[in-house]
Amino acid sequence: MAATATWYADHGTQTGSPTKGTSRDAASDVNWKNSDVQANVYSSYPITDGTNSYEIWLNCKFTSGSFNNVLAGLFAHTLTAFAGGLVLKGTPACTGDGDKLAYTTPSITANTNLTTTMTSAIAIGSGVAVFFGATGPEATGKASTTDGSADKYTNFLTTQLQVSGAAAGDTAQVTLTLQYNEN
Amino acid sequence: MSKPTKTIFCAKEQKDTVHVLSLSAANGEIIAQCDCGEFVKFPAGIKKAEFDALIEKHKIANEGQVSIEQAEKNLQELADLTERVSNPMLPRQYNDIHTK
Repeated sequence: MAATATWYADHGTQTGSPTKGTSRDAASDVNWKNSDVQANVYSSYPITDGTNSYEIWLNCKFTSGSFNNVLAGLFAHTLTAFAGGLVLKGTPACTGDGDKLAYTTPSITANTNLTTTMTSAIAIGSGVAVFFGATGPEATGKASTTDGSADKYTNFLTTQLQVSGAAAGDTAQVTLTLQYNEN
Repeated sequence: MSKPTKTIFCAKEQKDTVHVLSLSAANGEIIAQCDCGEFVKFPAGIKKAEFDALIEKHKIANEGQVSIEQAEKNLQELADLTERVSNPMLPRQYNDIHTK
């Protein structure tokens, strides 16, 4: 049995406690852009040089019934380099429930909570640790292993593209990977 | 006048390097740039204590990253020494997202 894992992204003003986005949309292909609206086409919302993209608040949902346990989560940029003048910042490692990022309303201000530099493609084994838990990426109680008794979610896997001195135009298409074991 | 600099960990080079500090004309954020091209941004108007704390957090978060190139080089070095190790255990699942 293979776990069914689906990417989602939160958007909009932070709401609730713990905080989450106003909306949560399935996201198989995402773009860093000068907008937080998922439907907005990235080419119409270019990032101004010297500024940053809106953060993208990804998480991965594991559908109940498709797995017994998921564990050993890692997240990294694993394929294709960015051109010069671009830096991708990402979520810190989650090695305890208190490490998970709390959702904040996306903005183009450099997010200093995104301490991991993800500009270079790295071996997934040196990616940041990811935890799992019930209810949603925002919920407390995240752990390194979770069972399949209900739908389960990773912590927020947030990224932001920061720009300084980049050439105009599209970035390369890169691959971000969530690796996990299941049984 | 010489450009201000600060020693900051470079995630790409995996070592402390001299970064040149400048201000973004667009929003006043501080841009600390390594010779290799990698840069780190800091909030506009930040105080020294917070600046130093963020630099330390940045180093802790990024030490130990292994680039794809380095991983392949390491594998080659291992293969030269241990030819019988030809089928490393692979993780069971991946879930990739393609982004632009």
